[in-house]
Amino acid sequence: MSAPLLEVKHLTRDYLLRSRDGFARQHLRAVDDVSFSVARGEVLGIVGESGCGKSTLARIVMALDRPTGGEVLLEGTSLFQLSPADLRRRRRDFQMVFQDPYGSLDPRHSVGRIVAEPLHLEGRTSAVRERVAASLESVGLKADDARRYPHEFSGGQRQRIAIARALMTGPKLLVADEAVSALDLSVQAQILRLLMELKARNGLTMLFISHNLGVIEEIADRVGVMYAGKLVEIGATGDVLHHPQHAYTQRLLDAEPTLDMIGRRRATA
Amino acid sequence: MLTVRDLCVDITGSDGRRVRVVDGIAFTLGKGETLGVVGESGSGKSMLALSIMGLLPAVAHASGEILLQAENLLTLSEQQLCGVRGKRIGMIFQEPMTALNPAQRVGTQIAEGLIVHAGMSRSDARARAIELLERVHVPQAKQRVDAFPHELSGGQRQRIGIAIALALRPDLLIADEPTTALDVTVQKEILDIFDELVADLGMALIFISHDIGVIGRIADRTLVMLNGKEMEQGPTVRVLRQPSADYTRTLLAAMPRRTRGHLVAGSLEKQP
Repeated sequence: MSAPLLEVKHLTRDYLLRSRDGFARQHLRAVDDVSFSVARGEVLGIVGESGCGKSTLARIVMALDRPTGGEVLLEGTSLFQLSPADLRRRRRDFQMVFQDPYGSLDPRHSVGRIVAEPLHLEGRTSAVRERVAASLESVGLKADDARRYPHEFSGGQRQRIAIARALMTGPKLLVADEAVSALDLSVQAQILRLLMELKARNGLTMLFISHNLGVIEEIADRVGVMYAGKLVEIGATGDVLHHPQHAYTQRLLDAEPTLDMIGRRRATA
Repeated sequence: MLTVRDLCVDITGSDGRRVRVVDGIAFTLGKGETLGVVGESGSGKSMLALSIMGLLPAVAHASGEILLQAENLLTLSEQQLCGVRGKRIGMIFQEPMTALNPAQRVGTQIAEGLIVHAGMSRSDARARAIELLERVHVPQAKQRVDAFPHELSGGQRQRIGIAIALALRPDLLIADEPTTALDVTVQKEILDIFDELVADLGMALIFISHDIGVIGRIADRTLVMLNGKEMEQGPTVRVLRQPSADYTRTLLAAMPRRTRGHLVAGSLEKQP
């Protein structure tokens, strides 16, 4: 078996909390000794509720934040041991899609400029217009859309623009943090389908973070469950969702309303 | 108890053009019943809620009839509506942090209606606020009554929102995406509270959500909306298991398999 594309080893992130008087200090361990690896072409889902540390994890994997302890290895290279210049060069290999399709695109820039932005990571840039067009077309938009502005697009289309931007440098790893959570159901299904197509077509590896088990089941090959900063369970998606080992996973599964439950409510009340 | 007939809401844009955002909606709702209203963004479901509350923005105009115990709310003056809101209809919003006053203790916010509308003394209103907090399962209600909203979690804040809506024992509760901002485990607790209110207090509930799973869990009857229009309505089990509108089928098909449960397209027809 080939080496994993992404390895996360004993990752820990502490935040310092100050009390109101500013003196008493307390550490909050947002990510607590988390380890996992993601194989090439695999989608690893991370599921958990607010405050479980899943977004902090995403930020550290993207090297947007530094861990208190542990390391992140991309193709065997530890991101936090690279020089700033080397890290910058490596950034083309890992890109991110955020939750909010309204907040993550600069409203003053044309779509073409937004999508071309990651190219500065490559140093030399050529055929920008063609590459932007190709990227937009790969996510189901038109080459002409490069001339338009974000406000002219719906939420789902904006998320396509964000994906086109993330794919611009041909990344090996895509980190998606609640990338479909703000979208209407029918649009959410379209974006999930797009991501799965991209995975099949480009062999994209993904770290897909979501609070929604249904969405995770659609897209992830394996899933890790986070609770209070810890990765409490990880395994093949079907195994974790159908035979959860950890009590918290079971609680999460039980809490989610599914249509199996229609009309059952007052019978149990 | 509530009868809505041919409700239309028009919004006049700055260019003078009118857009119909609610188009001919009709339904009836009895005591102890829950109507689920489901639709995607822009379907008009929130405008429907606001028109019943008489809280439409100034650019919007509602026509048709909204009969609350035979009284047409659309013909009432603002002053008369003030006697309806809170007292006879309670409303719960999506974002409990913005719906609450950050500078006031939660007990004061719950007591406000009791003092203004019911003429209660401060100390009686406070005692009643504590009872209400217990009713919505806020732990340590006697202490929490003096908390500020920012000291509470999202789930606790939403319980405060419900307690405020319940304070004057309205006959009808309107909840607009009340669990959308919450984690699923917290959402489950809040949905259980709504169940209790409907079952124990016999309130009528209009529950608005984009989440079909939640609607299936809570609603007796379901109204599916798209672009301001009714796509279909009926008993929730019927609407979700044997949808008659293509749009309902599209929505169900867009759900993640897990949430859709055993509702697969093939089995939809097989159900009796």
